[in-house]
Amino acid sequence: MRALHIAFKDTLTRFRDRNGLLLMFAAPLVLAAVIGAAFSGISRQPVDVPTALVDEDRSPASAAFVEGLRNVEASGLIAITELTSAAEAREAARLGEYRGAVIIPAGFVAAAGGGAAQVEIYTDPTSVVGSAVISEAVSRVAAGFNARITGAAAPVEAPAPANPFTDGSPLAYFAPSMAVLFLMFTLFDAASSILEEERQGTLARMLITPTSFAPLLTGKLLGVFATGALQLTVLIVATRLIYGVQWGPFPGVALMVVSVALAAAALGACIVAFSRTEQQAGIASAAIAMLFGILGGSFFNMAAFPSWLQPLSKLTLNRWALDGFTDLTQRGLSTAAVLPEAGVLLGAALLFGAIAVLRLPRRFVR
Amino acid sequence: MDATRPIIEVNSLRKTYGDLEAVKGVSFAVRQGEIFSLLGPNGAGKTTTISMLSCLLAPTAGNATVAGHSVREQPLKVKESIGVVPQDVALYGEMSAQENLVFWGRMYGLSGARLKERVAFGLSFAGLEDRARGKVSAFSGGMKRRLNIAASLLHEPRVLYMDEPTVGIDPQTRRRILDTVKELNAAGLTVLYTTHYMEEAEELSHRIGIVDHGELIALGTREELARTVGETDVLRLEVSFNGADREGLPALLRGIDGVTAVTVNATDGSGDGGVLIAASDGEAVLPAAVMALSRAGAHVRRLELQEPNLEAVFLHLTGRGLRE
Repeated sequence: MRALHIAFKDTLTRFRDRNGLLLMFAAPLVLAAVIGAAFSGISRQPVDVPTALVDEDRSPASAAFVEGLRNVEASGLIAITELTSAAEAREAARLGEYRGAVIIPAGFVAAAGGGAAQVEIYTDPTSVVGSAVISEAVSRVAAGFNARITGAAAPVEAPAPANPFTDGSPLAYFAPSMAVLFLMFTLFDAASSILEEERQGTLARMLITPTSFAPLLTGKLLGVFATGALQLTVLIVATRLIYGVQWGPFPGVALMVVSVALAAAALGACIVAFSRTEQQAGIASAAIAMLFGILGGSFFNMAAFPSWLQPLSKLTLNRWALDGFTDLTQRGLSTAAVLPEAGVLLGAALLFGAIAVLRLPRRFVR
Repeated sequence: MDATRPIIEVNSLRKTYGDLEAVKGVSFAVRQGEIFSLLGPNGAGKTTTISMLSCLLAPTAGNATVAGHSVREQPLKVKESIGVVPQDVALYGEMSAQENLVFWGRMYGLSGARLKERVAFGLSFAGLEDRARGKVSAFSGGMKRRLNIAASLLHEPRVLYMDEPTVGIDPQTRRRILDTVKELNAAGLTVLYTTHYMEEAEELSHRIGIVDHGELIALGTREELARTVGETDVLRLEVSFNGADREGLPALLRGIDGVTAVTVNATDGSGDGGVLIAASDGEAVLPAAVMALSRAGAHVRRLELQEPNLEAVFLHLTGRGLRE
């Protein structure tokens, strides 16, 4: 019972913290709306992202790839200028004359035959939208091209996407992505409350009551999990009511909420277990949350990531969480479809939780 | 007060941190119903001792029993028997007074009508009935201190530990805390009190244990301790050092016939301070001491010849003042 009292107390104090509430709810709702609106604009009107294109291969295969990109250009997403040299295209992109450059290297067709064809994309990192649009356009064309090389019945002339992120509203992607990103910030911070309690003396006071460390730790972790589950639930309801996001079947959403909140709570506890001070935990938490956010697809569509980045992306909780949620929000899949993602997240929760549970008593019980 | 039955028995309790021996095998007993003070300077090992008796720290060696329960083998039973008032306020600022008491009551296993009754007692004890729903972060220092004590009394402990509860607080709040300790003791509660303020230990305690460098160096009633210094007098001098060599003053004063110990303290950055001199005959050494200080360039602004007290005991036993 004492664990429940501690969890209740922690959840109560977290939801009374006005600054904390801004981070938990206002920030993800506003950011999802802003980024979502930016990409909605892309879907409805031509944006003509200036794109340099260099075909160094000059083969029928590369010409087909160029044609695919021209089809995307026709939808108003990108505006292609063909240049003659890769160096010139990279320099022009670097100087900001174009938002990015797409370079089809010499030997493209030979590599394509061997299944290892690569197109170089050189984008302006300061232009989030431009980079994402170019990457998405090339990904789409490449998907069609690969299908033809491998004999699948897909046209080279891949249809231009309605918008670069989804087949539906961009908010179906950004609502879960922002929710997961800010869940990490909240739960990492909530987990470090045990260090805050150590500093303010309430942890020692709890340990002086007839309570051993096990229920105390259980209560603290339960409080972090409850905070996360509530935060996600509120964000899901809010984005449904305000933005009309369709989150999919309740059992699937509930399973994902529980899995993500457990995994993030356990990782937060793990960070605390390896931190000496609140400051150290804060810095590590912010760095990991940001890194996970970037690699895990919270800011960019994961499909736009280069192939070498995909395995790294799958090392983040955000990626698995987003894969699961977007299975439900974007692809309209059933609860069964998210079982692999939920399984990975629950496995991560077990692993991080075990490390934290083994290490934290050594940290606090002397 | 039951003068015979010990409620706390400490046997050769020791705590080390690597090479540092924070508590060096202390032994003492606290009788049921008494106020027992551990008096000593900062870093003497008082808090470490009380932390071991609270089962917050595991002893390196030795053992202690509280209300018949071993701190090593029955920590939960020990914790049920004690209330601990920490040195700093340990409450949740974002929660109200009432919510804090409810939480701490639950942590002590209280529930239902009993919890309600004890929370009402806590609010009344702290004088916060009309501020029950107020956030603790908005309370004055005195209100927080009172609530801090109330939270440790909710489960009606048999022994109350108070670890330097008056450090860094205003005189009015300090007075109220000291009166509270006496009232609680009068109601039958045994109190283990730690302090580095001699006056508090003298005012409150039935018996006093003097600790220094992790050792219990003396134990007894105030009168018993005073007798250990024999006929020693203590001269307390307020001095303007005027650039005098403070480091050299103790050796200079110890050279006077009859002086047994000397301690020199600088009170602030103004160049003023205090000099304590223990001597077998205070009146006899007084002129020589004043002359010696004067020759060294220091000016005596005020002097007092004290009866043997705990300061004299500490000076006699360690050659240093309590506040050094």
